[in-house]
Amino acid sequence: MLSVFSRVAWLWCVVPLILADGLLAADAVEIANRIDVSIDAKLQAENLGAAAAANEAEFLRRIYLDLTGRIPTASQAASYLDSSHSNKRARLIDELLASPQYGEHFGRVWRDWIAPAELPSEGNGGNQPIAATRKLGVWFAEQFNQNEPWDRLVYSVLTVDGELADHPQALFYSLVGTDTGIPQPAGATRAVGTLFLGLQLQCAECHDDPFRTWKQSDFWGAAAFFRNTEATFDGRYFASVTETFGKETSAKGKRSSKKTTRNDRAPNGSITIPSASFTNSGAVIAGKFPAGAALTAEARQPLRPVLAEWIVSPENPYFSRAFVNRMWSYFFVRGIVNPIDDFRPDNPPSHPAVLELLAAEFRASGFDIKHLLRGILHARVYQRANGSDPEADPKQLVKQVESFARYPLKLISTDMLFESLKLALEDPALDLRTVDPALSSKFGESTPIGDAYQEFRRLFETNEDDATDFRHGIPQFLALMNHPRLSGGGKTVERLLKEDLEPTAIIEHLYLGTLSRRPTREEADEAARFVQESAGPRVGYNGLLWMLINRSEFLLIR
Amino acid sequence: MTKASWQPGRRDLLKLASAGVLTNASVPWFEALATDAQRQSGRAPKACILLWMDGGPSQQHTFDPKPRGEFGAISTSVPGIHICEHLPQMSQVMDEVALIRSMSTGEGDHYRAKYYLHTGFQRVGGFEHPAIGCIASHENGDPTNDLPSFVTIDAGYDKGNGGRLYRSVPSYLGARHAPLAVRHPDTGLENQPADAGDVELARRLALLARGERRFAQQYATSLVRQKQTAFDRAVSLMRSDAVTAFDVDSESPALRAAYGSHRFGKACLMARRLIERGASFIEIFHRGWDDHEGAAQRVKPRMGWMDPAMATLITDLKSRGLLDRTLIIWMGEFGRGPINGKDHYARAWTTMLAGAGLKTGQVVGRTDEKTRHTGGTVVDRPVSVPDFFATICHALDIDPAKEFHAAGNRPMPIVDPEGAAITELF
Repeated sequence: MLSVFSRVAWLWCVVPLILADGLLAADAVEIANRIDVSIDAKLQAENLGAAAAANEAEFLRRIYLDLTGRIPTASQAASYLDSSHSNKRARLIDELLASPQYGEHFGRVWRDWIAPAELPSEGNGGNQPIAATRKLGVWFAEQFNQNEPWDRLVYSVLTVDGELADHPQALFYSLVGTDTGIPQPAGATRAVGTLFLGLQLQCAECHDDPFRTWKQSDFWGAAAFFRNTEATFDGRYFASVTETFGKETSAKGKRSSKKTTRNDRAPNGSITIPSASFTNSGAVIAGKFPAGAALTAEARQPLRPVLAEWIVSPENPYFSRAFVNRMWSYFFVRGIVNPIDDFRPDNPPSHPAVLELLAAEFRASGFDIKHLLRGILHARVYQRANGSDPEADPKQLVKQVESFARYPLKLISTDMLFESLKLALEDPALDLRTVDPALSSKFGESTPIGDAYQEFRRLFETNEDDATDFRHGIPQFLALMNHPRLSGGGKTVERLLKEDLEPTAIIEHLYLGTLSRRPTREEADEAARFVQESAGPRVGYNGLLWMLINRSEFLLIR
Repeated sequence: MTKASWQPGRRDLLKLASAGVLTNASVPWFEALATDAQRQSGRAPKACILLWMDGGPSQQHTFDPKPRGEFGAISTSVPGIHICEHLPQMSQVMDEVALIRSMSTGEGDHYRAKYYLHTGFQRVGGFEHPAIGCIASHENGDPTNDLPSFVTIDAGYDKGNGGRLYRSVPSYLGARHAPLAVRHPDTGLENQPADAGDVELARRLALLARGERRFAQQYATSLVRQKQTAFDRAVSLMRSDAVTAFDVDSESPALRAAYGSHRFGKACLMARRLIERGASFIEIFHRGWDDHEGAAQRVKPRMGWMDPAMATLITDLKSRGLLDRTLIIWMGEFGRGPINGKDHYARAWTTMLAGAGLKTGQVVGRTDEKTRHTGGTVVDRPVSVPDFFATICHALDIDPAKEFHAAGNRPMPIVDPEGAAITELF
């Protein structure tokens, strides 16, 4: 039965989506209204008030950072704030979704979800393939900017066959491999479960999962689909994925590629539990769809396409919900199901109606990502404020955030900080490298850093990924405060001084270009006084810009 | 295990700081928080210097020599204990050292073993255990100290084997317990201001403080408090003379010569300076001990810089009265195969401990001497990773049974309850 639905579903996917528009249940505003009705009903039932709507400046900065990974420039901010268009929020959402920065940003986001950043301390970040990983991010960026439907995009990742140079998505299997850098079926299974299905299969890798219903045979049953996937990777530039089903020889390994070294004698369509496992090593497990039926007749053909069809099918209960929930969590720092990759009966969604509504809409639209995002972003729930008066009960504020009655205050990511500082300082390269060549070595932490982006990540990346937790510590703030390229005001101040502007205009420009708002009267007076008391205008405005990029407000999404 | 008497006061200060009280009360920037009174109370908590030999050093070419081994053995300051002939200076301080020759840890994959020997737990998918350095920072670190309590120092490499370096992650203990990384002992602390007492910098900080105070009122969230606290600590550090701890050039030429001119020696000297200033945990790593071609040729030249640096670290700490409160650990993620040291070997290998008031001048455990694979089997007192971690915690006055709440409210003890401290050492 399963194979029937997957076959039909796949046909539906490859047929040009002529039906897509007709299938749309709703436009963005209607979806947004239905989200709000559902969320607000629960708030009312819980007698929990919602925060007021975010003001225009808050909305502006929030949506720029959330959708494009950067703040608006001073002139973009001014033009939005001064616009009297009645529908300017909707127009901005559309404008940003259509900008190339949208795809670039989510390309980086997915790159990091697939291969969480390590601290790139070495030329090549230890064994982390930074350059190759970036290629994967760029590939994702192109897909997102073309608004490639999510099912087709994932199908393309999962069924890739070829080399990194032609198919950047070939890197997927290498990046999600084991710690040793050798791609293995287990790593692919964990990643597919977590990233595309919202299922935490990993505990069952070594034993039956006591907290979930997964048996060890479920994990390895899914891993069996990857057993003929030969992925090679030299850790740097060369990666390839080949389906070896029915082939005698392995992938053409160029250079000193690492490749899978499996001598599994289990019959096709099954896999042997490796010796590293806690229990049952050596047992042969028959292929089985995650949380689904056993693999039957398909065992006589390459297995990855079979699994991929099953995963991206509209009838798969996990695929659409997992994406919707992940994107919801991206905006609200909390999924409707939490952890976001732990869908199971014992872990019910907080707002089932919202999850079902969005998942159904996503499927009906042909897995149209921008359509889904529009629906969420138009909702009042996305456009709520997060500031409060000082007397507010902190516990109540937390509860509001957890119930989507208040937008969470979030720390911007390292990538967002990099892009935003470039704009604020008008320094498109933002090259902070300072390693003394005399102290550099070929290997280790004093290796010359490859490029400006790697250096920035070395200075500001941390291993944590919860945006509501502040990650930066002493080293990051020492860099932000004292690095000569960050404390000198950049080209922004030089340009403004040349333009012969009034001090108030310069101060306003600096606020717009950093905090995406105009200064309050108090701030404007304070800034003017600061500049007047400075050794000269350049010193004064440089100090003002330094102050602005060191503000909490600059580092946060309000 | 009772906590030192000074702790309640410290905890209270921390609470005040995290509640933002101190920030708001003493803006601009609460340098007053660094209370010298506490540091002078004399009962400083235990500190630790971990000398991490990345890749897995050969025990038979270092601290567990065998009769028919590739290197000879020499007697030491402790009758009956012999170590490798290329460690003459270490042989003279053996009375300050305890060798554990019966490490039996079972994990032979580099990265999994690095994780295991840094956290005390086997690596599992989807869960991150905090590293011992982060735990020590959390338990023994002084949040009022200007210095970060956990610092790592890269002491270089001599080849690229051994795979990816493990990096200490605080996980559920919080970002403030993440290590500050020193890339090179000669570079020291990066991004210090040219002049921390600069008037212009002070003016900027004062302007910033006014805006920050207003923002904290409008956004009274832990995120904003965390940012302001971390920022305050950075300002305090750069204005404090604690930063001089990162500068080893101010030490006497004679002492610098004794530590040696290799990066490892400089890193050991920096570690002593940081411990002196109240840091809790210093990890020095040297990479390249994955000697698959055989250990003899590779290990011998390393002894030239390792031996004087380690021995000098011990005697220097001792002469300053710091050895009793400082635990020194020398280890890698596993040992190497018997005789030639070619393979990864986790069944029977050696770690070295010194200081921290341990009963030193002894050897714990024994490997065999009779079989064909001499030294390949533990014949007395196997020590597991949980046992080893219980021992480290005991030595650092950290309660191994203390539980933290990981994601999903999952209770996690500091050490796997199966572990039992090596009682002979206490």
